[in-house]
Amino acid sequence: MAPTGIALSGIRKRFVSRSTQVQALDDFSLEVSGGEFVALLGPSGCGKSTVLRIAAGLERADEGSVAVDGTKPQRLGRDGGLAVAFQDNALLPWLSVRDNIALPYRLTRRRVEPERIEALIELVGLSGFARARPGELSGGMRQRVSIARSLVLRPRVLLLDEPFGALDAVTRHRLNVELARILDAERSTTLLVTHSVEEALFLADRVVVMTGRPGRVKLTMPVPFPRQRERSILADPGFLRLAAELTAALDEDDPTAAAGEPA
Amino acid sequence: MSTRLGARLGLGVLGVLLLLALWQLVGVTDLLGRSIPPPTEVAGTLVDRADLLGRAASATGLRALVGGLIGLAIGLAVAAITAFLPSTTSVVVRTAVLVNAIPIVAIGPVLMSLPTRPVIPEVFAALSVLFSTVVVASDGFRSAASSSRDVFRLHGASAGVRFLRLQLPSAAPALADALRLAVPAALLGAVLGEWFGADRGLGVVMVSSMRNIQYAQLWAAAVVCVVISLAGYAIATALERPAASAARASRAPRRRGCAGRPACCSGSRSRSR
Repeated sequence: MAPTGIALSGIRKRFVSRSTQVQALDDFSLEVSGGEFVALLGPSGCGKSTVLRIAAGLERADEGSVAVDGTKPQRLGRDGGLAVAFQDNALLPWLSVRDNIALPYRLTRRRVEPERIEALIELVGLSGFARARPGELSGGMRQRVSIARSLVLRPRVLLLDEPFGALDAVTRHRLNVELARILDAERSTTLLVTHSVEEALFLADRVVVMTGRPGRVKLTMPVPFPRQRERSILADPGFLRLAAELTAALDEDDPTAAAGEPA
Repeated sequence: MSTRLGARLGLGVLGVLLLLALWQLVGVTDLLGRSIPPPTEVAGTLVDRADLLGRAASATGLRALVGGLIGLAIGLAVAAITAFLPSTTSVVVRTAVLVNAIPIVAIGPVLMSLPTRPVIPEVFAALSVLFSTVVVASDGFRSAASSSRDVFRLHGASAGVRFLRLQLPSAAPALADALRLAVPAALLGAVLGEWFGADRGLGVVMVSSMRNIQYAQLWAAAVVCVVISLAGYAIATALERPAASAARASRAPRRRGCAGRPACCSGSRSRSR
């Protein structure tokens, strides 16, 4: 098991409701080394977010072992060593940008570091909006606040659950460029859940593709480009080839793609 | 906009005037019997018996306030149990529905046989407020987004911290709603309670007016009830507005102060949920 980073081994997870039983994950294993950025790709409903929630300690696995930085994720979360950025930003609407970013200090009973908060507000490009409430910000700005909040305690492990999934393509790409710059400054171990091949290849050191439900690891692809990628890489033939390979791997588990139907 | 508002206001005033005119006609002609006096006579009684009605109104208002606040406090405390122990929600809400299903007037004779008779109006006011407070507040305490709850869980926040920093602020619009619903309910409870046992109050004035065939005084007491209820409702609505606008702001993004700020131009299209 990696002494730092994320180690999930033999994870099984079944969701049971009154009328249905869904096997979300079956013998799922994944290791993310300390400081590594891994993107988890997969068809809709394959259990990507469940993997992330289990890694965050928000969901309990039926079987298998979970260790984040060599300990239980719940413990690391309490210590501020683990943070999550959610797809719907999870900001508290009655708090200002500054107070939302400061929330993890209060929840973990730490002394608030105002200079750290101001530096993050600057880093995510929201200078001048420190007092604004989430309702006064655009979707992209709210996601940047969410990213800043997840980074505020300098977590050793960062989990990103489609943080820009609700945004339009142009904004999403712009924020990905910003995210790459921010994470390069922070150097956390990062697991990103996404359904965007481009986003995964643009940001990650390694892309892991999951099968359809029940989710297992289908394919692992190292990304050969150095970090701090420029936007121009999107047109690079090597990038496009990898994107085509990943798309083909995803299409194998997508019944609509196999039938030749439009996505 | 202001013209449209003026027209709506004018129509409202016209409607009220028409209603008063119709009431006057029915009252003057005794079309529906002598129990409906004309509004001019009711207005005259309001002036002539202002002292009596004022004293009765302050007694009833105080009882509604005390009983209503007790009902609100108990309702909030019960709803808070569901916030700390979500598995109790179903039992608590079902019990509240059961208590609410008992007609309040059926409890009156029981209370009259107890030594608690002098506080029947307060008890009725509290009971009238209890159900809506429990249901609305427990709903409000559950209204925080699940991802926000996850942030608190992730960082190991205690149940107390979660309640104070997440569930209570999330419930603010619902609590303001509960307060708004409580005002007329508490007043109605207090008046009903006074019918069963009180030395003074609007309910007492109504019962004695009915017995003494003083219909104008009966209607004047009813008018005072309506005025107190509307005033209380207006105050509660004024308190509710900031809470509701905060809740709306969290759902629909408003762009403010964006002009000339490039940061504002990124990510304006968030998916609606």
